[in-house]
Amino acid sequence: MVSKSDKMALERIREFGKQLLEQIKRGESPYFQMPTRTKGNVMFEEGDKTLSLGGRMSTRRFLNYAHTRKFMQSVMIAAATMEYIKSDRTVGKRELYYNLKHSLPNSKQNTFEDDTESGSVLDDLEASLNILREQFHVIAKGRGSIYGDLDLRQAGDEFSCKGLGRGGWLIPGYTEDVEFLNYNADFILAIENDAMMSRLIEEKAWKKLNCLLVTGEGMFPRGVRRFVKRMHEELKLPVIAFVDGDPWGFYIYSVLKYGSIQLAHLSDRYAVPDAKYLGMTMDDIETYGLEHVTEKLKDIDRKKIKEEMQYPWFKHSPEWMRQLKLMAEKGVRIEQQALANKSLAFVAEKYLPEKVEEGKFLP
Amino acid sequence: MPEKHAKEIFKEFREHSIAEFFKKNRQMLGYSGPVKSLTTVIHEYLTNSLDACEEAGILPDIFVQIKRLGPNYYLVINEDNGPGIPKNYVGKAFGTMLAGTKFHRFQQARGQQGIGGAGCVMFSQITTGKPTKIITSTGKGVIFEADISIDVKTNSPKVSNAREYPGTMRGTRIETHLKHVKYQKGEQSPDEYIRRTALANPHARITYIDPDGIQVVYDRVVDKIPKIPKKTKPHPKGVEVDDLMTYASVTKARSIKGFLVNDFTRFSTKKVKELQEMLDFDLNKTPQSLTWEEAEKIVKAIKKMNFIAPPTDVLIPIGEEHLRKALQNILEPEFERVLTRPPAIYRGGVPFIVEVAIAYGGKAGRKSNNKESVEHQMEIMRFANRVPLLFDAGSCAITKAVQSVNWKKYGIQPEGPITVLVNFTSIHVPYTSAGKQAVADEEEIVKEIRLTLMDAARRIGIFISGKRKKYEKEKRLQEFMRYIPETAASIAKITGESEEVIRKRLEQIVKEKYDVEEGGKENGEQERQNGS
Repeated sequence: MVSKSDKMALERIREFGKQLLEQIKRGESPYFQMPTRTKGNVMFEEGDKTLSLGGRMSTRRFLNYAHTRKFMQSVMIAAATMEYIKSDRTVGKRELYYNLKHSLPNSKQNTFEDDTESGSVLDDLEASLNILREQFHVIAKGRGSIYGDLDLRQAGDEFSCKGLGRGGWLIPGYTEDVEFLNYNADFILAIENDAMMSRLIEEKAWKKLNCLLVTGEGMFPRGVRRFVKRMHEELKLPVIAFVDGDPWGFYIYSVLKYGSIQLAHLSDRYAVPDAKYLGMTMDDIETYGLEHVTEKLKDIDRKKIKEEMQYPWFKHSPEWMRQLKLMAEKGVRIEQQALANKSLAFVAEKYLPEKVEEGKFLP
Repeated sequence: MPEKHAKEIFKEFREHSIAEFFKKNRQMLGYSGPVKSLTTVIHEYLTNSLDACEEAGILPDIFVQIKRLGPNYYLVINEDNGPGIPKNYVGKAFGTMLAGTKFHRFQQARGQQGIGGAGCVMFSQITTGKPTKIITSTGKGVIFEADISIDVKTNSPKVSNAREYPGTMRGTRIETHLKHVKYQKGEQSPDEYIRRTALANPHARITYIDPDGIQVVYDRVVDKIPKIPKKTKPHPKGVEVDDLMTYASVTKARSIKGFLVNDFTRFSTKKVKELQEMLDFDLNKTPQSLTWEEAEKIVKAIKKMNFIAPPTDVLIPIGEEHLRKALQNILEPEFERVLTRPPAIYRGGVPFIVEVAIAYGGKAGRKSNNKESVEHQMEIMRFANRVPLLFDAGSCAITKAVQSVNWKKYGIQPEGPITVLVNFTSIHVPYTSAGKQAVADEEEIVKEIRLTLMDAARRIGIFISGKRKKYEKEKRLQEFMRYIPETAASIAKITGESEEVIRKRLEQIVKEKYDVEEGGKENGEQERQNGS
């Protein structure tokens, strides 16, 4: 059975091919356009508070020496994904790469040299045809998990995200077909560190705080961000971030809330503009007496702080500028797990409940 | 010593041991170090052969072989098709120092001292105790063969095993045993010396077999013997004190006045008068009584005087056409630029001609020794009167001039496959030392070489950048072609159109539109405002 999404994707790929063919028949160098995905063309839209692409378009031409290789790769991927959709198969990013990699005639070159090459061309196609990677039947590797009182159905299976021992449900790369059956939670707690996730599962924090625990194990992957976005929109659950008090934690939050430069064209499908920031904050260090478990900033940390001070959403937020300045002044950062210094249960028994109770979040 | 006459000096070392003289002055004659000594022997014989052939109007055909007989022990064979040496002169030619036909003669020539051939015999004798075998014939059906060594006490030849026999041969074959020499490949090797000699002498055919038995033949590419440079008297401006002493000792003139007027060019009686006014001794005395001090005063005074420039028809360069042919034959470059400049003058009176050749691609350039990558470096070939200069590069005017050029300005990467050849032609080459391996960096010489190099560089730079563009273009065309099959197959898959049709059409588009589409917008993605 061909779904509506598949139909649309096939339609767009065919249209894409038709255009190129017409150009070739007219004797022109074939080309296609796509939104420019460079920093210069990424804008922060105050209205819906996410990153989005500006109006600038790039043209990819077969007969431009700098584009030729990518042009070939683009049509190769388009042709391949068409096959995947037709045969109702989904492939991983790396599978796609291996599927299409072979040597070119009379050269040592391959069609693709690594999966970042195929990945970046896939991003281009997504932007050019305005279809999601998932709709191309190419899915990101699952990473990250969810735990809490939530019942789901996917691929014919029904299951609950609680009562799964020490772990949670591994969020797959493709979650468009997940159906929400039942849930009992007041908010979603998005956690940076998977060890912190385990701690909170063990302490039954989800029960005490009545929330869903989600982790991306570091930077939140697309699958997790899309799933969080869907829960936020469809279940109307607020999203609260709990990450390290350092520029990298801030960045994870920033991507969760506003979107990323790389995927600016997809922000409306991934970003959660209403997300709030719980911690760690620079103030936590004093409030909870964590001075002796801070880490010194490295050069690369300071560089990132400077960079973030230029992000429009931080720049125009006095609270965030205060955090960044404080961090730079103190020269330290504070990890989520530093809370274990008080006691293992401290984070679940005192830190999180107090913060949630007071409702003191950063915007 | 400076007080003594040149004649006495010569007499002295004739009376003393010639071997001692030789040992003392070995390095001056080119016999310093085992590598250089071997190259010097090759140089002396090869030069003699070329000179002999040219003087006799014969196109040279020369065979050189180096045989390894043991560690640091070699046999050098040099055979030419020259006029041969009359039996009675063989001993004198090879067994007497300073007996060559070139001494006391003022002519643009390869060798200048008449010490070469005998020097080799001497070096062989000192290092191995063996005589040198000479086989020669003037081409009249009789071959003369003898072993020559030098009686060091009398500076006279010792001829042994002399025999005559009938045979068809013309030319001279020399076999010399050498110890304390070392064959070593590289920029100062006999191999390189011979290769460069072949470059500067396109009228010669040189066959060379190295100690490993590998034979290289440098074929003749020009069937014209270079003009024999006119014999000329020395020009006052080129004269140094020791030259003056030497000339004075052999002149037939009775007074210094007469000596100057008769034995020099451009020295009129009026000029002698002018000179006399600047000196505190009488120029009417005999030339033989000239002292070193007085000679110094004359040379110093001459520097302040003006003379008409010497005639320039006495200089015979290789010539653009001949040099180009030689380059094409030996370096097989992708392109080359050869320039022969009109005569210029240094030290206010000595004429010289600069020739420059720049060759790019092919066998040009020096492969660097870096084992990780085969990369090229600019190769500098220096010549004086067609003789390759392999040593003392650092102190040479040619090196200085080459280094003073900003090659990159002309689109020439010094790391490229480039050979720069400079031939300095003059009756009087101002060598930095008796080793005769470097041209003194007289300001006029460096400037003239530099300007000629820049001129040649400008012209060849156009080729190189044009070549680079063409190469880039071809590379790109290939690249486009390479990406066509996959592109066509994919578009065919999407659209259902025939792959063959798409591929052919794309190939056509690339061939037709390549130039148009490429112009000026090849870098980066082109951006345009949406809707425009």
